[in-house]
Amino acid sequence: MPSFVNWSNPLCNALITDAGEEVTYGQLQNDVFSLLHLFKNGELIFIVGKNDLTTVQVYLAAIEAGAVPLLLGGDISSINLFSFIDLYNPSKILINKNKVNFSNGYKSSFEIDDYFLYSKKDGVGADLNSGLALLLATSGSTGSPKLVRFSLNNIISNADSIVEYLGIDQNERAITTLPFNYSYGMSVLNSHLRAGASIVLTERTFFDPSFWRSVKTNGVTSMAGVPFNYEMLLKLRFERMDLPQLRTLTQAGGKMSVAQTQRVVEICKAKGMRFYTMYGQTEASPRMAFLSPEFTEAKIGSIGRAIPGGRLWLEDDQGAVISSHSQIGELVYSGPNVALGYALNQEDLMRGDDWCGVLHTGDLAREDEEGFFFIEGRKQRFLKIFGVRISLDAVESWFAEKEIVAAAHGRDDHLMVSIECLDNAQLEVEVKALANAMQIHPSALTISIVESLPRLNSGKVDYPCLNKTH
Amino acid sequence: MSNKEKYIKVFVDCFSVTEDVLNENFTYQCVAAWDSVGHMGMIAALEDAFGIMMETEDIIDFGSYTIGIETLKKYGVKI
Repeated sequence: MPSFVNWSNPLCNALITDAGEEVTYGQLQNDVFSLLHLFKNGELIFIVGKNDLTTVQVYLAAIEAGAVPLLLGGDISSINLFSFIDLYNPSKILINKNKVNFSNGYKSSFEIDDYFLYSKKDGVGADLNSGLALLLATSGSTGSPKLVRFSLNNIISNADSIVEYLGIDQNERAITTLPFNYSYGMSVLNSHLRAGASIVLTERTFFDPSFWRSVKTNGVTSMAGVPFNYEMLLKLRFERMDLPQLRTLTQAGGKMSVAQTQRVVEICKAKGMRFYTMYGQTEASPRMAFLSPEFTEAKIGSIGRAIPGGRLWLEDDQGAVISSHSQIGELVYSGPNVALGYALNQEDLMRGDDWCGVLHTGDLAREDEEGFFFIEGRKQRFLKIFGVRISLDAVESWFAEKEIVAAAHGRDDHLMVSIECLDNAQLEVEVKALANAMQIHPSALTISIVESLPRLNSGKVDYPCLNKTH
Repeated sequence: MSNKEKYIKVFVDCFSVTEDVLNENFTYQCVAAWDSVGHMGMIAALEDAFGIMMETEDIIDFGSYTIGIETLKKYGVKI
């Protein structure tokens, strides 16, 4: 089985921990190999981790051993974690010592730094398809049980494309600005390990002075961000920061406004930095398109063209290929990085390749005369709140379970819910409860009371009208 | 409203907390609401409330309720 890490330069640094410890590829390889005995080929492992050394070591060891990790964020609630466990039946779970105690079914079998590795007492975990290599949840830690299934080739081919178009070599050094279990964060890690480059592992945010000290002292050359990261950079007046080694910024995880993109592009130009707008979805491991820095100004607002090895086109409602420019249709992608499919339960982990390399993205786009794609909207009803997908229908069903009639709408980074009949006292409780259930920040959420929801003749909620009035 | 009242109100509104928790132990990331998103909102609310525009270092170093009081002094705002 091919190893997806480039081990050819054992003396080069692979990882730099938050404490400043430098881990070479040689050392990392030793660490990973010493953990291999913990994992069996074809068993399901939950890795409940964060951007730290142990998480990366265990992730690599599990994959090297042919085990299949599901990556989950350390901030997952116990309720959500237990529902994932019930649904998917992992044979092992790596989790922070302080996080949770498994009294039923699992016993602590190994200790790695701040983590325990729990094993199932009866040793019998889910059966997996032999082509399966990795699992990610579709919407971060919101508790949606839906997973995306990846083959090793999905992950490797996408990492290789990214290495190629960003020109990542051994001299590149990234820093973790996104959760490791979020597909964009994972792809930064994978592509750098694939290229023999290095990554600074930190959980710190842009608002922590240590983050910027680390960028400077460790000579970080690139940073990745969702639109909200760029909002923060602009707020921090990034243009005034002196970070001479930082050469590349990438943006994905949702559409950034043209005005904001323009400001970032101007700053990057003045600083001699490269800025890449990129497009992807977890379902494509995740990258599908990128806009080269030389086109950022001429094609502002565009997601660019397909990544190396992939192909993009548009289809109309009947599934026919659209050839005329300016006509909007659903964006479809094909490439070796299109995942195998979804899983909703343990049985689905036995499934093979459902998608056969073709992904209907659900995004509506147009293509200009020169082959650049522009996202114009979405077919499905979901918002991206700080890069994480939130299904509007799921929000409505969450209220429906409480027998509250609600219509969810809004824009990216701001979820709005209009509710019929609810008193003001209850409102505040619901805001907190919903923010908690969906794991979004309360400030990204507005619930308003309406006497009655606007409806079309068909009886369906008139969402355009709702978005206009709020 | 006094400066102190305005200052407290920003914290109470941004992080949905009660006044009695606001002291030197009320620090960045001590409650779930004071994450990066909450920090952005709080800085914007303080800038609005006092008609100031904060420097990069001050936004990054604004690590607690108490530090913030010192920071605002630089902008001529006495809490």
